[in-house]
Amino acid sequence: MKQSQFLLNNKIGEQQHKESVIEKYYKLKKPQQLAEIALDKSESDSFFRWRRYRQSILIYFNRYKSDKQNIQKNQEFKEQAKYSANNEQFQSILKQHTENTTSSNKKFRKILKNTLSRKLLDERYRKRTWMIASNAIMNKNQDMSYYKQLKDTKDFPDYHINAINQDVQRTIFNQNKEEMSQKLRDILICYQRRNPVIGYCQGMNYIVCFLLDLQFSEEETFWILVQVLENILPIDFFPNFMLGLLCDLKIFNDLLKYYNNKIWKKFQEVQIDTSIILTHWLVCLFTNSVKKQVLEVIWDHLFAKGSVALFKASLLFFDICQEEILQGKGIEILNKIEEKIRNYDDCVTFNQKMGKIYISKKSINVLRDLYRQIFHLEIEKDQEKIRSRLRQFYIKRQNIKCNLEWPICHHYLEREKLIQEKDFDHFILREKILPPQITDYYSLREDIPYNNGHQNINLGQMQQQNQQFDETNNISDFDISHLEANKNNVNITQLERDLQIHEISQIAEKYKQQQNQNQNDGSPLLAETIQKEQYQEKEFAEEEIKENNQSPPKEQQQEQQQQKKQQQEQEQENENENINYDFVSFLDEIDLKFNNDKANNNQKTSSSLSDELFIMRTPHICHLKDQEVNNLYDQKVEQNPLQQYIQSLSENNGLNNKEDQLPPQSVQFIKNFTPREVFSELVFRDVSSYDSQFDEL
Amino acid sequence: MNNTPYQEQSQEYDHLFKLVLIGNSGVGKSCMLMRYAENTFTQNFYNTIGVDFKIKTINLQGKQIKLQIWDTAGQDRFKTITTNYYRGAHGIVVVYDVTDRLSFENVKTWMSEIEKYAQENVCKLLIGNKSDLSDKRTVSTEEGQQLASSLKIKFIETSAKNSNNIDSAFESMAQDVLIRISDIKTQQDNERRRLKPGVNVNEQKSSSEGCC
Repeated sequence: MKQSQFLLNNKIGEQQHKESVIEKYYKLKKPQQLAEIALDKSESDSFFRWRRYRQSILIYFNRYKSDKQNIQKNQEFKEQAKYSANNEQFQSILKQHTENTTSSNKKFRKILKNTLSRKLLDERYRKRTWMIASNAIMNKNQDMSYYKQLKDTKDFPDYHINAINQDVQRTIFNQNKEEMSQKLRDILICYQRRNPVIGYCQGMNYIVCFLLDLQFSEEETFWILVQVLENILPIDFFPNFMLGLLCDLKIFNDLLKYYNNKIWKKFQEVQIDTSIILTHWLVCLFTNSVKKQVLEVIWDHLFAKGSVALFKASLLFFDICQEEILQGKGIEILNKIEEKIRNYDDCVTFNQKMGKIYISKKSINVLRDLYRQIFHLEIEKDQEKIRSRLRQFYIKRQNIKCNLEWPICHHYLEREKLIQEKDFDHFILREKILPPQITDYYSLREDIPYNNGHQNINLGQMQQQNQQFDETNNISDFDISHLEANKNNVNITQLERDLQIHEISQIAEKYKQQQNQNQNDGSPLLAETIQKEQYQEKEFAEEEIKENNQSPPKEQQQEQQQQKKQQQEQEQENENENINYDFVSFLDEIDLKFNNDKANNNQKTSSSLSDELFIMRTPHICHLKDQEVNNLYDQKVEQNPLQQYIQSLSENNGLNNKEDQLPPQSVQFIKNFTPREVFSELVFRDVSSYDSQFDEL
Repeated sequence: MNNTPYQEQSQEYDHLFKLVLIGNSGVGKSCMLMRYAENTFTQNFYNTIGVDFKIKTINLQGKQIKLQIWDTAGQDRFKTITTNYYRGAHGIVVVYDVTDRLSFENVKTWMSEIEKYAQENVCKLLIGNKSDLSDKRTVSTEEGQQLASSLKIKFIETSAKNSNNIDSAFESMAQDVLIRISDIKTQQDNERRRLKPGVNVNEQKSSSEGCC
């Protein structure tokens, strides 16, 4: 019906045009083109309207249905209520799931949805239900030591620690203040270690506080938080510039327009943005602004239906306050809404109403994608301006894409501040989209010789650098300045890394010279760049060997010699294949080598090679290509991949006590290893390539 | 957000001023606002998410002035949300914590943020809060004064706990805005006198945009 109305209002030609636009969107997959069209306001309005009808984004209103249907529904409801009072099916599945946690919880969620549509969730089951529905229990049982590992890690560069300490003080618990605030602090710190991209956002403290007050244990709370932030909410909801949140605020405005047009009109009339109140609700997930009973109902729905439940709840709250809004004047309306919602406690009717609203999850995702692209375009425009301003100062660095959440970038910014002594404008933060790769870091560090883009580098330069290195007790100039600047917050790991990089660069230099000798003089430019990658990967292998063999120097030399021989052999083999070289094939080669060594029962080389592989497998250190990261994500590597790999290694070797048999250095390495490096790449990808599948439950 | 006052309400007061409080997280923006608007103080106040606002009506030079004061979240990632409110603001107050060196050093970045998003003629004020904690002080009054004079803005030290200088800070801000608005009005009047009657209406409208 509405489609026909729409057709009347619009010319057919226009519609055809828009259809072609959508075809572009789906077939060509050039979202920027679409976003450009959508940015044009006159186009965008009608465009969104059209999409709404097509995707049935319109919300179902029960009030528009005929009275007969309502009566029928009431009767059904009564019957269902009887049935769900002691729902055996629900309880049996609850039991099953606590026992067999590996089975998928889709079924469980469906049943939860049904029960919620009939009746409030029984308080006795609430905690268990949340653990299962959120998948937190599965995570917890899969890797029992994960949380402890995160918690026990020392010398970790915690960038959000000041903010967390501040906010923990400001969070008020109902009982056991000191104990609870300690727990809160631990959980928040562990989370920002697990996922530095999301890190810590103000508002998380209220979420954790609410969960702890419900007497979830520390570890349970952690895992629920993880699931909510990484699976239930859109992945870009919190990190960087909160793009996901901005999108949702826009979408809510659209939804309100169709759900309750009176209120929407009133807000337009008074010229108040709904997002003022909504940001608070969405960021805190309604904790801190709603009574506990109602809050629990919202969270029940959140786990059952995903992030759509947040829209539903906020729509309902606006509905509840309809009178106040329509009678109110000016901005004081918002205060009235807040007051009324804070005192609202009719959770039974609220639950019923929540069950009645329907919002299509798919269409919300389409809208999210669309808005995301629009925002991206705006941000890019903004970036352009900023870039042009920055060009005067940083001509070489226009195209740098890095993420400030990333430790290296902090490092870089610090350095930049010190060296240039200029205002490094804060909005550089906006420039980042992609998580940085280690190559970016190298390209920024011009003091590292091998990445200058020149094949031939004077040995004299290298020696000079080495001398400097020795003079300053193995700490480079930059490190000292860094130390001086942050005497209070010295990150030892970063400094160590820097030292390592220096060492690597030396080895790389030697290696490069060797290769230059082996190769013909007239090598094309393409090959050069490919070789660069190759160096890096091998350097890291060498680095690891160094680390692990510091105590027995003779062995080290032998192994290095062996390695060089192997590399030379490899080069001879791959002389012609160098151009087609890529990371996967390199891994394959190592795998092959490893298998050969195993066949020869050569334990020493195998252990060193296994160390090599630890490093190779972590995407942080040797950046995997995007596809591989995606693949890893698809496999849902929840466990620490290193541990998995070690397990498989020890199984292959027939070793029972892996800790006894593996070289002692590598055991330490495993223990100290935190999966942050892995997850920071896995969890957050380029926002523009965001996949809606993560959002869907 | 639009900055033109609502017609019905314009009878209740003479002017509506929008002020925005910005500054690092935990410098005491919300506490200052609570002290000013409701005259209360709590040691560990909740952290602001997104934006919050309070309203207070004051009498200045015989005129009823309604202050709409916006309190913003200090964390970096909220900037995309909070900067939206700079645009309609008449006055922006940058707050730093006298006991927190970093918040003082960040004042410059906040100022660049204002330059980017706020109107050109916006009134600015620098406030060093928590002046009661003299033991923990890391930023001296002179330093604050120096920074303010280099940025060519007013400076004041306050304490939300003792309610020292809080009222005077906001009132001086309101006074500045009032002066600026009356300046603009006189300019407009002058322009109107120059314009002949029956001249293009659009021009008059465009000239009045800067006012309120």
